[in-house]
Amino acid sequence: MNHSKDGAATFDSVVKRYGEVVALDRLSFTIERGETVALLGPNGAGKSTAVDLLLGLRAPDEGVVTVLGGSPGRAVAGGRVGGMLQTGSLPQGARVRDLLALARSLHGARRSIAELLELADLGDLAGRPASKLSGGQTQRLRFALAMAGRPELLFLDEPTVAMDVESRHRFWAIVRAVAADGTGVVFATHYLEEADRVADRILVIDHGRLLREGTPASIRATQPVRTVRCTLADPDRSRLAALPGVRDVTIHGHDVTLTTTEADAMVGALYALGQPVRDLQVSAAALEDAFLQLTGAEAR
Amino acid sequence: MVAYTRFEVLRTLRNPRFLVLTMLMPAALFLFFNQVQSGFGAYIMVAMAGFSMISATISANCVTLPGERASGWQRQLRVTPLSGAAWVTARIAQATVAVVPGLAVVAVCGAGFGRVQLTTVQWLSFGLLVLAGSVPFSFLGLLLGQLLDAQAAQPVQALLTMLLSFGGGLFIPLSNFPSALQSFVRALPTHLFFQGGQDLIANHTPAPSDMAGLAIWTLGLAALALLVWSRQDGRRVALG
Repeated sequence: MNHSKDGAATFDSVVKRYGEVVALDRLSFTIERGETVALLGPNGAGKSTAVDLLLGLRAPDEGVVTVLGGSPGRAVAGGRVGGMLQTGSLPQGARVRDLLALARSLHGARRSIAELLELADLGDLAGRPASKLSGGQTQRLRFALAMAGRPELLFLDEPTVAMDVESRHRFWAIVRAVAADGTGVVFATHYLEEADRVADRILVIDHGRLLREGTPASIRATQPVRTVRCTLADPDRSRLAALPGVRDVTIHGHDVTLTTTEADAMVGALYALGQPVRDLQVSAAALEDAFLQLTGAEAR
Repeated sequence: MVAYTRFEVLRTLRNPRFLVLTMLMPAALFLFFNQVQSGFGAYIMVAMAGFSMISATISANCVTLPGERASGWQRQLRVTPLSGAAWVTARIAQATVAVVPGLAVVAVCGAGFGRVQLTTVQWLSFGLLVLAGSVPFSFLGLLLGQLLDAQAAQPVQALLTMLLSFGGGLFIPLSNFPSALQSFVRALPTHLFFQGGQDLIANHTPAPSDMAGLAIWTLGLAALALLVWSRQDGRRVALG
C-alpha cells in the first residue's frame, strides 16, 4: 500500500524551528484512515506543533505534510478535517446555538444543530451563553464545532486539559463513539491513561522526534522491565538482590516484589535458591513506566 | 461568509455597550444640540449620523477582535473552510450592518424633533452615503483590531472616535479651529463625509472632490488593513 497516497495523514522528515529551537526534528509517521492515534509526549515535545502543521496553521521548514492526499490547507478548506486547538476560548456574546449554527453553515450544513447537540452530549444547553458553560461543557461544545462538517479526520490538541475526571470520561466516551462511526481521530495528550484507553496506536514523541510507535500493548512490551511477585518462606534481601537483572527488592513479611530487566533468567535462578516459591506472578510494567523510560527524565 | 457576518451582527446587537455608544449617545446628543441651536436639525442630524457611524464601525472590528486573537477563537475559525477573503469581507460587512441601528435612530430624531423634511430620494441617498462613508472607518477598525492588544483596544477606539468626530467638525464647526489646523482637518474622512451629507440635505449633489477624497481614504485604509492581514493571517499554507 502506498502510504503517502492512501494514508489519512503523513509526516515525511518534517522539520519545524522557532528561531533557534527545533520543535520538530525530522519527524516521520503515517496515520491510516479511520485509525485513532495518540501523539503522546511530555510538555514541549512538539505535539502541538505537529497538530498545527496537520491543520495547516503553520508550514514546515523542511519535509512534507500530507492530509487526505493533499496539503493540510486544502483539506481544511474542503471541510474534510476538523480541529480542536489547545487554546480557543469561545467568543463573548454568543449562545451555544449561535456557535453551532455558525459552524454548520461554514461547513455547508452537513449536520443539523439538534444532531450536533446530541453528538456532543450538550442536551438542552442550546440557549445558554457560551461563556456560562462549565469547563467540560465548553470542551464538548468545541468538539461539536470541530465535528460540524462530518470530517473524515479529526485533530484534537490536549482536549481534556483542566477537566475533572468525570468530564474527562464523558468526553472520551463521545470521541470513542465518533471513532466507532469511522472518523479518524488524532489526539495529542500527555495523559498516558488516555492514550492507553482510547488509542488504537500510540506515537511517542519527545524533542520533536518519534521515539516509538505501536499499539498500547506493544509499547508496554518493548519495555524490558518486569515486575515479579512471589511468596517465600524465608526471603533474604542480599541473595534476592544478586539475582539476574534485579533492580529493586521489596519485602513485606513473606511477600516479595522484584523488578528485573531479565525476567526469564531471574525466575530460573529464583527456583535454584532452593526454597519453595509460591504465588509467582510476572507482569509487564505499566505503560507509565515504559513512557518514563522512553522519554527519560523530562517526562512528568 | 454570510453565516459569519450574521454571527457577528447578532453578537454586536447583544452588546449593551455597543447600543449605548451608537444609539443612545447620538440620540441624546442630537436632542441636546437641537435644544441649544434650534433650526439646525438637518445639520445636527448629519453630524450625529456621522458620530454614530464612526462609533459603530470602529468598535465593530477594533474592540472584540484583539481579545479573540489572544484567546485563540480566531485561530479556531481558521481551521474551518472559511477562507481568508471571506473572513475580511464578513468583517467589513458586519461593521456596515452595525451602522444601521444608529442611523435609524438619528434619522427618526431628525425627522421627529429636528423637523428635517426630505424627499424619499434624499432620505435614501443620505442612508446610502452613511453606509458607503462608513467603509473607510470599518477598514480602520479592522486595521486596529489586528494590531492592538485587548487592553489597548477600548481606549484607542474611544480616543480615535472622539478625535475623528471633533476633527471632522461634527461637534464644533471647523471655522472655530485655528487656521493652522484647518487644511489638515478638512482632509479628514469625517469632514469629507460631513460635507457630502450637508450637500445632500441641501438638495445638492455632493462635491466630486469630497467623494474622491473619501474613496482615496477607503482604498488607503483597505490596503493597509489587508497588508497587515496578509502578514498575520495569510500565512495559512497555500492551497494545492
